[in-house]
Amino acid sequence: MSRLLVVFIIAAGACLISPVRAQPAQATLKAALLYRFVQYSEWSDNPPAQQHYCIAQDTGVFNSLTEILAKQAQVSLLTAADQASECTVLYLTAELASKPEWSQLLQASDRLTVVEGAELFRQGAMFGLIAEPNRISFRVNLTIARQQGFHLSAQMLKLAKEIH
Amino acid sequence: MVIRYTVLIKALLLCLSSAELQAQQVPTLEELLQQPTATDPTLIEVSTSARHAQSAGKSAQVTYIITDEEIRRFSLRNLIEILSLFPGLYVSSDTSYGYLSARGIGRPGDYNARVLLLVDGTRVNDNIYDAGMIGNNFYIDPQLIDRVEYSPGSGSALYGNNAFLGVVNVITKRGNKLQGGQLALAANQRDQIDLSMSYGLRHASGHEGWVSLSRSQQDDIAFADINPPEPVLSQQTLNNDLNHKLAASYRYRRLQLQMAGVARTRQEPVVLAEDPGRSDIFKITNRNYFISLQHGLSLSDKSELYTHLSTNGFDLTTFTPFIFPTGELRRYHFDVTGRWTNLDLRLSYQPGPSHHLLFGVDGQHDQHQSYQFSIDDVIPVLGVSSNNNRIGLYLQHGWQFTDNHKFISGFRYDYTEQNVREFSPKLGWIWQLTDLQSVRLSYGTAFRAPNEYEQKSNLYNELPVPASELIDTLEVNWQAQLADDWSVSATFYHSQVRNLITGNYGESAIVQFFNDRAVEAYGIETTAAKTWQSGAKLQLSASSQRARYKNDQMELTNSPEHLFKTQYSQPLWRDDLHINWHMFATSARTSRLGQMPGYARHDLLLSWQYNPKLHIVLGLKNVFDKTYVDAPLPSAAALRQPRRTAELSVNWNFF
Repeated sequence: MSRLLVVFIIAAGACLISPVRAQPAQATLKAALLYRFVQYSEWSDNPPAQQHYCIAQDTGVFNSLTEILAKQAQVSLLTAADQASECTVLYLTAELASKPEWSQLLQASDRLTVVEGAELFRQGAMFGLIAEPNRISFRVNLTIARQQGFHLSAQMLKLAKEIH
Repeated sequence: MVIRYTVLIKALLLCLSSAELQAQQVPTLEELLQQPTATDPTLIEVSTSARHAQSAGKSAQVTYIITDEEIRRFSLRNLIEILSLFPGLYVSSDTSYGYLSARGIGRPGDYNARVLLLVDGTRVNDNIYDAGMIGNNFYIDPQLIDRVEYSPGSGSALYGNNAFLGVVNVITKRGNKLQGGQLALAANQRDQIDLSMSYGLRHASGHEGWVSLSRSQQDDIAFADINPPEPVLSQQTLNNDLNHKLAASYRYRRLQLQMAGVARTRQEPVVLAEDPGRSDIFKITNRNYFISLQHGLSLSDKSELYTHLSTNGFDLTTFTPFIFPTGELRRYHFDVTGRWTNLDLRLSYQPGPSHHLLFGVDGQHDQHQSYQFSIDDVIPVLGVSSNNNRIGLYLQHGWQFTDNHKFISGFRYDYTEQNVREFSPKLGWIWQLTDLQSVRLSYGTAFRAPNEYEQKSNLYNELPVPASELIDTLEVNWQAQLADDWSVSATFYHSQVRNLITGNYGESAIVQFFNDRAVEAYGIETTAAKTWQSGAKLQLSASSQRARYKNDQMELTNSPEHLFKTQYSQPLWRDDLHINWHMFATSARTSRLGQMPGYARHDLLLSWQYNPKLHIVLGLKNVFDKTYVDAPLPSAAALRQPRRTAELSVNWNFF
């Protein structure tokens, strides 16, 4: 009897399920996070007149960010590391951790850097996206951010998983 | 002129409103961090298998994860319930302790000494029994846990002693998830009430901390014995368990100071051996604590130094009633005390993007290990006290020699003053077949040195101290992301176990330990997971495992051959209301006294996120009231496992 009751409850539940908000694709979520990181960061010295977002080898994030920003800022998809000289915001995917030409770009000052994964974050990025089983969180290297002349908002820092 | 200005202002307002509109379409940072999304399993960050944070796909060994969301949705109230969700793990209980078996190996009476238990990297297996407490007396309450990582397999090449069948790391929440006051209340129809209060703060400069106080009480615990003796039946109200816990954490950047303590009183009516017609209370008091200090220091852009100092204490007293020859009721007091300090130094060096070196030194000073056995704490019967020093040196090298291939090699050497000399090598190879598929091959060894209890028991019996248990494991893992967002994995493993330390619980009151016959264990662990766009999530795991003595092919007792687990969450009508189903099925287990049939149990829970600050779960565990038994104790007595329970839990962030 109790089995029948539970089966009935599950069946009734399944029938009553109505469409719920669809989950965003990973690329859309990463692009939106990137947009918010920039919004909550201030270039204390030499703020750029217009932001130039550079997305390294991730077409999905590039397309989503282009859509979010419309014409508010320049967005470029980088295919080679030497194309990054004009970038004010740089995003590197985890696959680039083993490629020194890309990780060297993290050392440049006056550039907000966001990377995927712990490996690239350790190489000197300001923001690191942390992939969790069903979420994305982030860590911040406050020391590097301050050294490179950035002021990060307290509101954002309260939401960071780790502050280094 | 006025018209021109009006047009200009209107145009400006239009531009502003258009920009605002665009920005409004992007959720706030807080909302973005809350949004569920299907993550590539190879990119998920883990820290247990390699002793530093890295993408799961870069590690030679598999790491399974249970998140805080699963803990909340499935109303997992202690580590027993959390661990039972992991592939290949089987957990049973005698209502006082939880007993873990992994990959087909779980010895009766073993207090989880063959699994290394960590809290934020701090070793918490005690220094007497090597016990890992996973019941209500575990240090950290579930609502303070951010995630639990389980890395199965032989892990001594990095962790040394106890990482025999795997490593479990309980990772606590940080300031982003514990801000303000939190109240957690959970109650079930079996008279268990857990109440926890915590308060957390984070400052923008990076200072953060939390403190938590909790109380867990269970009264009127149903006797685990299938046929409890007549004299105790009327005393079930005296069968109770009371735990008080205090835990706190302070962090600043890469510095963490953490402490946790638990005090437990467990009372159980028992029949007196001298007069089976009488009963009295058997009591356990247990106080455990640890304090740890961790720091990560960046020495250069290529090297980092981790320092981890911790000190732990373990006090256990049991009071066993008996009838003295003069006829009066007295109690045997068995006092066990352990104090130890660990120092862990790790140097991480990355000379280039393709290489990573980890060099470490682990030291443990057992400043106190003692037993006192007396009658009413007045008449001494037995007293033993000792100390020990242990040191382990390890080196691991990860080499990404092409885009698709990574080679991992390492070893560890362990030395103790009590004659343990163990060398534990490790080799691993990761082959990224495509963007969506990878194969991992690893070989590792592990050991478990005889613990203080096993050593001293044998010395008392004038028997030689048993040699360390040894295991070597070869495993292959295949992981893939299939069409329609399914992620699947399969791990085949083969282990050879030598010198398995086994107790002879026969005639003597003091147990005699010996090295048992060689054991061969092999099996397969498979997992599949999918997250739908609607927010529904399904996780499946199936394990087949066999552990047999090599000489006569006799099956090891106490561990199932097949396990099947399912967790499914489905939003109902709206994003904040989920129905959650957990199914756990196992094949038969054998004990010294016979076979215990397989069973399937189901938990069904409704979780409601009323608002970001209030979460309510209501449900039934063991919905069909399946009666099943296990025999985790040396006596091999069949013990009844938890029956159907209605549960309510509330988590409220009150400011």
